[in-house]
Amino acid sequence: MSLEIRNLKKCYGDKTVVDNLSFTMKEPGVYALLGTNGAGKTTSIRIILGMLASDGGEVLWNGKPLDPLEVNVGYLAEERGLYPKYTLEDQLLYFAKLKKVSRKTAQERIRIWAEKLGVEEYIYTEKGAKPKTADQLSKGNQQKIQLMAALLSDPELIVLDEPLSGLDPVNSDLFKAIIKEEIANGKYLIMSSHQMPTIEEFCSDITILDRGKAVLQGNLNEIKRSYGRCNMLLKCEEDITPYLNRAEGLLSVEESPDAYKIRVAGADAANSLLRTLLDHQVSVIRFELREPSLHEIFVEKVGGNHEV
Amino acid sequence: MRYKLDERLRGWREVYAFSALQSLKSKATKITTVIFCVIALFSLPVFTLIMDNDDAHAIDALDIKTIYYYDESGFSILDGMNTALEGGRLSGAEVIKLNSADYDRKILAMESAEYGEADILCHFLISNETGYTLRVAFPKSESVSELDANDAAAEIAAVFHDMIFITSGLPEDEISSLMEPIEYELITDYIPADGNDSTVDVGSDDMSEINVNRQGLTMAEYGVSYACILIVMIFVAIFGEMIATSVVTEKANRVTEYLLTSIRPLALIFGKVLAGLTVMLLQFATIAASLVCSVYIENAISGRDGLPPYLSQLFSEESIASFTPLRVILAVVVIIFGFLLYGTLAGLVGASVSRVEETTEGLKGFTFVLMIGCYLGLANTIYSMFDAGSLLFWLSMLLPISSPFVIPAYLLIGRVSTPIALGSLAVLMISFILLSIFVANVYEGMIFHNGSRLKLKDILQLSRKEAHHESK
Repeated sequence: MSLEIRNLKKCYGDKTVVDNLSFTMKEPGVYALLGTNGAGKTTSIRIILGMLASDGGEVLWNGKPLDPLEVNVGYLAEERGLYPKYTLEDQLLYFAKLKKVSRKTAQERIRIWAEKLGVEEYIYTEKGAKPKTADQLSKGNQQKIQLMAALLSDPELIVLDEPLSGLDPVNSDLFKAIIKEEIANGKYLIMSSHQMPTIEEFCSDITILDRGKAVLQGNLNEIKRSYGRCNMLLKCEEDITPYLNRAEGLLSVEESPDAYKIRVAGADAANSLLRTLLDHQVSVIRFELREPSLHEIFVEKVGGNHEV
Repeated sequence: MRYKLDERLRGWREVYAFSALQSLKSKATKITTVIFCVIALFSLPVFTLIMDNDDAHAIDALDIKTIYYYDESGFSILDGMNTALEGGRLSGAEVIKLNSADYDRKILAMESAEYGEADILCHFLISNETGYTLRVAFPKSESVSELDANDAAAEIAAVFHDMIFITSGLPEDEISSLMEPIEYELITDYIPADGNDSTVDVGSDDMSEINVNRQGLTMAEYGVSYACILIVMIFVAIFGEMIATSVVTEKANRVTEYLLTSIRPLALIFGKVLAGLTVMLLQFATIAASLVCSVYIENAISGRDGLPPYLSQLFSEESIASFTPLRVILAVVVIIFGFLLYGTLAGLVGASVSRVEETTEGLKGFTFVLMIGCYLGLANTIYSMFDAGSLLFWLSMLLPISSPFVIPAYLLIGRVSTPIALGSLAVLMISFILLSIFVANVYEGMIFHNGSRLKLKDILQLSRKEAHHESK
């Protein structure tokens, strides 16, 4: 199985909100769509899922145009949606029925997921008690019900738009465990998130969108490698300002109470500075040379003036 | 991706089943149904009790002992008034004829506050200008109440009217014909003097209906069609509000976004409208069943069989004869398509707003169209009392916004021919299909719109854009 997005384009009037977006998923895993608010992530997702018509390009699933009426897709939208006044079981059964899941299978799956997500008490009430409606649930519990709705049909392709937003650390870990389980089950996932550590935890490939355009694309590890080990953390017992002033290849120096955060041109510059310090009997307490984080790459690519 | 019609409709059954079930479970549906049923169940018994009370009052003998009269009309038969009043509310009263001098004395005596007799004094007059006049005097002391005096005057005047015809020497059947109001009809086709047209089969159903159409509506027909139009309008308004609210709720709660990963917008709106229609028809049927029960309760109270007289009088023999199963089905189908048309329009209105609290504002356009349709139907009903084949008649019959109100009403009173009703239904069905295609095209774009309410101009722009997509 494979997912291929080719030159997607969407315009609203004169404004191009998705501009020639292309990427491919050749094997199961998580693909990340990143970008600032209004970068075109949700619009791209809606086009991929066939909800919105594009102004150009195509979405291929196994080499054929992806038809959401045929392909089993699961979707957790950024802005969550449940019927506030209907009982939870009624709406979950309805969503499953729309995905052509039989009532019996749906009921079994609801029970399994409810147990896994710890929401049985809201779905199954005691005899005689009134079943709970969505508006009686907390935001986090509503999100769990929505995740259940997205996964009830055991979809091949899962699209999660900001799956962890608004969750407390415990529920966040619960969601992460479920995502890992889906990856292990060989599912294709597209994830959009503003939480960069989460993306780094799950995603092998990424696209960073800025004003509808892909400004950075590819395998996350390769992208990081291409930047090189250019972030240095340095902590010494003595004042090292004179050495820093004289050193070559330092792009920026930021002093913090804990350590110096130094951006270097390359590993050679970092090693040269370390050698100088050691030669001058400076006590080096901490020396760390690493690749840039996704957060740093993101900020560099889309600029710090955007709301992230 | 372009979809065929069956693909665009795939999943409508699931939407229909879920929406219908949830609507039936909702408190609002239960409460409105119960209220309407209670009204329907007790309407006829209560109405009968009120009417019987009035009738009982109407047949009470009037508390009048003597009727004095002075005759200047010249009708000697007034001497037999005593006999003519028998069987009526004045049958126990004595009738005494007075001459001019006695009349003057009597009327002066009745002016006295001490006059204690239950008498009235009638003065029959005739003039070239005003025709016959009956002047009735009753005692100032109110030994006869004004209400009784008024009822007595009405009864004596009616008897006097009959007696005028009796003096003409005409037989009774001719007199009863003379009593009927004179109706006229305008014709353009040749009809021989004997009433049988050798070229046109006047006995055929359609021709007789067309002849009927050229006559004005009677008061009873006007009342029935007016009530029918209003009832359908009320149900269409409730139905429209239900559909619009349902669409806005789904949109505002972001459920639509999830649903559109499984089905197309056309299936969503189609299933929703049909579900609303089912709920409405079930409510309609429940209320109709309550009305039937109401007839049985009324029969048990009044001791009569069948429809109470005040209802059966509303339907002419022609309308009852024209109430064939085909025309009943036709009326129901027209109502159903009317609901579908207005429901689809309400769905469009629902998709044009983003928040539930904006629904009322969004429904303004829907209400405007509904009012135009309904008022056109009512205007036609009023105008049809004078001219039943006018331009207004054709306009209200054929315009899809008014025909769902007018056609069922006119089928009920037998004032529209089957071919006209079928033609109107065809126009209605085509309009519904065209509107559904338009709504399905713009719904997708509208459903993801957030912010201020979309205006008609924006919706038309969306439609053009979708048409452009389709052509690519």
